[in-house]
Amino acid sequence: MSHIAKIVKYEALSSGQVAATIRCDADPSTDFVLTMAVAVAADPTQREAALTAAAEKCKAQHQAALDAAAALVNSVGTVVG
Amino acid sequence: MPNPLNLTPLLNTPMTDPKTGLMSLAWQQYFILLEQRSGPTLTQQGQLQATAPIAGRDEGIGVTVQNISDTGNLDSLAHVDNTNTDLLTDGTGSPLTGGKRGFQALDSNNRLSNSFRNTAVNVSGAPTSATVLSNDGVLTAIQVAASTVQFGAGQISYNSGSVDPGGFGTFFVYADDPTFAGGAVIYQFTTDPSVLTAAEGRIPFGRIATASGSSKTGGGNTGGDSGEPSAGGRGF
Repeated sequence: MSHIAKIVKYEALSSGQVAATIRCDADPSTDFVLTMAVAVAADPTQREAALTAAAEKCKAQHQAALDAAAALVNSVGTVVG
Repeated sequence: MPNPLNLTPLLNTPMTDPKTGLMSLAWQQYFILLEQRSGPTLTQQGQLQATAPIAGRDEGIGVTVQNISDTGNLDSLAHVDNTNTDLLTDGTGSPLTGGKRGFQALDSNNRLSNSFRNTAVNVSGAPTSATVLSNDGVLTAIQVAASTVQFGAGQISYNSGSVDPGGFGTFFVYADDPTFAGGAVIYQFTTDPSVLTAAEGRIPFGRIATASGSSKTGGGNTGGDSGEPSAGGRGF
């Protein structure tokens, strides 16, 4: 299943770092915050690499959560323990 | 209700009956009505009697105004029927707002109702995961896994995230969560451990020592490869 991750918020922090919130498939529960040193954010290559890695992580976790939920759906009503 | 003692029609009526020399019937009826109404309500001095009734109510006016001072003020809050304080406007120093905050934050022994009412930096917590931080040794980004922190008042879960210091080295990771809201927090990194206690709402997520070409873990209740668990202490 393909996912679409988007940057939904950008924030400059008092520590001098910058944070970008990445959201998968417009689902706020998937919000993944990438915080970067200013030097990383200012460098296009490093920034792109960091954002891409974070987006992939965000999408992978979303898929994992969906898979887990799908697995549990069929277990409703079963006796455990 | 209109005044039933309408004098106007009588103004052209003689007060005395010329045949009998007595008061005319119309004027007699007028004065009878006047006496019936003024008798129970006015004193000899023309003051209202305490027993004077108010239309539509049963008590005398003396009962109605008994809790009102001679300057028109209510004499005591004990005589307010609706004691809902939401009807009041808060005053100087916000005593109503402050009282509500105190009620919510303190228990019956005047202590904080639970440690979630304290500032996060002063509350001990332990991560439930063995490690929380990781780095692949290729990219400089430090992954922060979704994790749960066990506090005295309960567990708080945090979303995953990452921080990218732009280089390899030893870093502390933290987030500011002054209300113990959990969820998606903004993780930050520092090389200075004192930063971990430099804000009231700060939650530490541990330490990790990253190195190019070598994957590393950190944080959590074991400290991972850094060997410094963030439980109890703050990962340093």
